[in-house]
Amino acid sequence: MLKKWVIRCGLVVVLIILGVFLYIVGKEHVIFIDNKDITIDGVTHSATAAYEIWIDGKQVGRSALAVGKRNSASVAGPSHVIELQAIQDKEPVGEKIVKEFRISARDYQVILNIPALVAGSDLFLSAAE
Amino acid sequence: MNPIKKWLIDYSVPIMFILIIIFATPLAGYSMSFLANEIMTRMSRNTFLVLSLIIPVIAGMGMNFGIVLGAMAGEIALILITDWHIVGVPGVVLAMLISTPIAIIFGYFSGAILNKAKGREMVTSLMLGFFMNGVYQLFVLYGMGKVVPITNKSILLSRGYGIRNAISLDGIRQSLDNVIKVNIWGIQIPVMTWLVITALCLFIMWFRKTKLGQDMRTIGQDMEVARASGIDVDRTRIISIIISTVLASYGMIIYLQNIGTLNTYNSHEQIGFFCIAALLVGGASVSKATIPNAFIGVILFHTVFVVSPRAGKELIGDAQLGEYFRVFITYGVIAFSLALYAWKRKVEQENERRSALGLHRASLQKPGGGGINVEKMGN
Repeated sequence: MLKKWVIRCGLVVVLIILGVFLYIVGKEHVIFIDNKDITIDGVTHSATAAYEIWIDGKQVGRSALAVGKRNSASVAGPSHVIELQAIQDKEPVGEKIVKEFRISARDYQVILNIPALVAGSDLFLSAAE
Repeated sequence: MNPIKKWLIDYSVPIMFILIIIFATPLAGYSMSFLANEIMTRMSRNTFLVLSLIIPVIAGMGMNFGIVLGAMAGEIALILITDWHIVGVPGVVLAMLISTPIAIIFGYFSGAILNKAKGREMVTSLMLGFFMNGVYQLFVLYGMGKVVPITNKSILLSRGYGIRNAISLDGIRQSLDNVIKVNIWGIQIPVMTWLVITALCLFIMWFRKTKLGQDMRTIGQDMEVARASGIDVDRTRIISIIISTVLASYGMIIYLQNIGTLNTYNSHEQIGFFCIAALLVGGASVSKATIPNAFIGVILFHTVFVVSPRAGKELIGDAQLGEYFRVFITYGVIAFSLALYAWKRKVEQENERRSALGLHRASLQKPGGGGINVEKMGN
């Protein structure tokens, strides 16, 4: 009898863990991608170039994100990869920047600041209000 | 009874539907590829729900109109995952996971009530569906946003509580269907959904062979004999309804992920009728339903559903007639099947009575028979 109850309780625990896992893996996030000036800890990162952006291999927007503009992308799950390619006169300039980042399951909307990311700041991602 | 006549009576509903299809399909004028695609979509959408009706039939409880309760459990789970912004296949699986305990509670409640109404399970489950619809509406209209926290403003009514009439399920729309999609001769086949349906068929086949499945069959054949042989009849019947309700909740999630929109207050209302009608069209009866019945039923029922509006338009010039025809067919099939079943039962009982009387007379006429010799006694 005890064994039966232990198995049942174990099964319930496994299902709860599976539920939490599915919640994290399936959680949708909206990423607002800003190509705007930002000041973090007194340091200002200025937007200087337009960028073509890919998140998890999918291009964001049809064309490059101009200085001072915002775009958005919807993703699911906690881990993502962003790729940036600077564009000048409709031609790619310099190396592609690739960055992995994680989004907390608690945040539905986040803001990703490109100038901060390009400058190497760890605070390029922040929760949207 | 003549075996041909018996066969014709047993399969009168499918035969009727085949004749309607033969008559209406050329009138509708749809291309074969369109028709095949439509039927494939509807089969992948509905078969799981129809299969969820089989287990209570095995247990002798007839058609479980209470699958509406399972559908409600599925819808509550879908509202929650939409609020939490869970998308894709994880969203579908999480909805199934959340709906399971809700459906178990609903199924237990339904089974306990049906045990108090033995012999009248179908009409009781039908009424129970109507009653629970009220409870569901009260919960969704007033409880959600007040008792259950809902943060997603897009699904809340403007007053701040209660769920909107229609919810977009864009996040999970056809996510299960699109995991693996194969195109054969222009027909889109959602392989993953079919694998899930196949798994359910295998489960039902396996379940019939288990001790519990055998107990259900015994109860379905004769409740008193089952009780006398030590089977806990009430508990087994409750389990059969719980399984059916849980499967119906999964079926509703598969159905809605295919459609992509949840009509919060009426998606579940007609589900019971449509699924039962489809199963009956497949040649099932109140006392016997098999997996082939479910498949044949879904094909025939939905083919008529697809072709009837266009055929109605071509025939009378009014597509609305075809729409009425659909509803007429749904309710008509259920009524016809139930009447046919009642008539067959009556004929069977009469035949049993006659054969018993014949046996009794034969035993009386036999020299030294066990019966009392009335003639001698009379002399």
